[in-house]
Amino acid sequence: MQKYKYLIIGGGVAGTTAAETIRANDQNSSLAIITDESYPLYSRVMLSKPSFLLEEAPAAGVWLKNPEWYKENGIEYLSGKSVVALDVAAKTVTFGNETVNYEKLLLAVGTRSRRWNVKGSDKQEIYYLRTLDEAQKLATAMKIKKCAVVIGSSCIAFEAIENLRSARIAVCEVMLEKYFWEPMLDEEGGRIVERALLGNGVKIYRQSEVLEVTGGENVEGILTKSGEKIPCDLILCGIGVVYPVGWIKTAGLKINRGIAVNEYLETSAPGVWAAGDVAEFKDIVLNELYLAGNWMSAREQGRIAGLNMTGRREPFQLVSFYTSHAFGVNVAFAGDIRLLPSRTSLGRGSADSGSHARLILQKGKIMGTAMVKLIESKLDVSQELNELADPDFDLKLLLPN
Amino acid sequence: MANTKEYQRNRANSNIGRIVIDRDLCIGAASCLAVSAATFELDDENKAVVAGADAADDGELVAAAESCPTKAILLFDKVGKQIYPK
Repeated sequence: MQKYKYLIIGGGVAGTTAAETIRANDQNSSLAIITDESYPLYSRVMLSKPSFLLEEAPAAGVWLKNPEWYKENGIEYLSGKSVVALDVAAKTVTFGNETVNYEKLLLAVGTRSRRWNVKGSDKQEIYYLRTLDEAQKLATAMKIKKCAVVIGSSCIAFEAIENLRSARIAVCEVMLEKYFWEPMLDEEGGRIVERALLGNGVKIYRQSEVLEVTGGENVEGILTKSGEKIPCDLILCGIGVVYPVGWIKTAGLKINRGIAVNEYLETSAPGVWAAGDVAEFKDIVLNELYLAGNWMSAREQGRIAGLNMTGRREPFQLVSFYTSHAFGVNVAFAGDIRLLPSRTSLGRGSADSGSHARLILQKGKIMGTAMVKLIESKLDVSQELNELADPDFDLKLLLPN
Repeated sequence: MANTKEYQRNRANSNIGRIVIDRDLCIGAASCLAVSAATFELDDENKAVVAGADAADDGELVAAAESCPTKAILLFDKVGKQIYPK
């Protein structure tokens, strides 16, 4: 049986950064990454940006590692393989008909798009946006489709809607929530986002649940529980993620929503670590169990797990941060923004001013904040409108010195 | 037209002479701050800016650039040749 000193399941940023860190600290031991995707490391956050979805930049921009990098670093890259079983007593992992042995194992399996389950949701032209394959399918569809329904109010929905509108596709946003991005934003913050959506021609259906997807083989529309019929030829679902932990739970590891780990990213099984979106870690800054789910955290957790797998014992400690941007509105999340029963929230600024922050407090301490800001253009062209209409006018002359 | 900010680097014994941030690419993922807080910070548009061009060694600076999910940080050597992204 093939044996690896270090085995990493998951080829995203957490798994790849762990491999990079292990190799920097242990040049000679065997090291392999198993991933169910078919590609080297790519930038998942680029998938919802216009450079990728609208092909505004060369497709090569999405790659963060090339196949040679794995070879040059002595990392065996087992792509296109889905792990089905883990035996922590025998220290084995099974994928397909193959079983391999590990000495130290990292679970960096990430998340999957939550599948939409209503009558008719198995029709063609229903899209998700999590993996490169999913994004490529959506980008191809966006070249020919005319009318989209977006389900859910999330980062993915927010950014994808801007791309859909740029592709001149009509958009209806359908959500269960009372306002966009509830409960991560408060209503004031949500209003800034919704104003941008409405101002860019998006029709919003709040507190709206889909009863059925209508059409034949392809979608032709949706019917809501309140009886509204919305025609469309494309549906994008951004309804959250699920944690692919079935076989990990079967192996006996402690699972909460994600894989439970301590501050050293150690799971309940000896010799097994977890990192990235799937790791529900003991946050020593917040003194809470927390699932971060963003690029910054995933990368840093991969680094810490890699260090600890090579014999160090470093805690993961980070106030994570991520942003989303569309239609000139910037939304930023820092720390833990969950409004748990033990917490209160405080608003700062107003929707009318175009800038609003929501602070999440617990026992008088700030746990996290969500900030929404309308970024206005600093380029005032009100005195140069005639020049702007002249195709021979050099636009560079408008730029500030 | 690229919307960039450029920073000269004068650190002794460094091969990196210039740091460039492409503001159109930067999405405020902040991974560069996690790797090199002495070099980078975010401005009021949540875009990365350089606060200390000479603060980190070359290894840390390259790691920070490589951590960016949109390749918004470009590094150039002393004669102007691009080092990252390659």
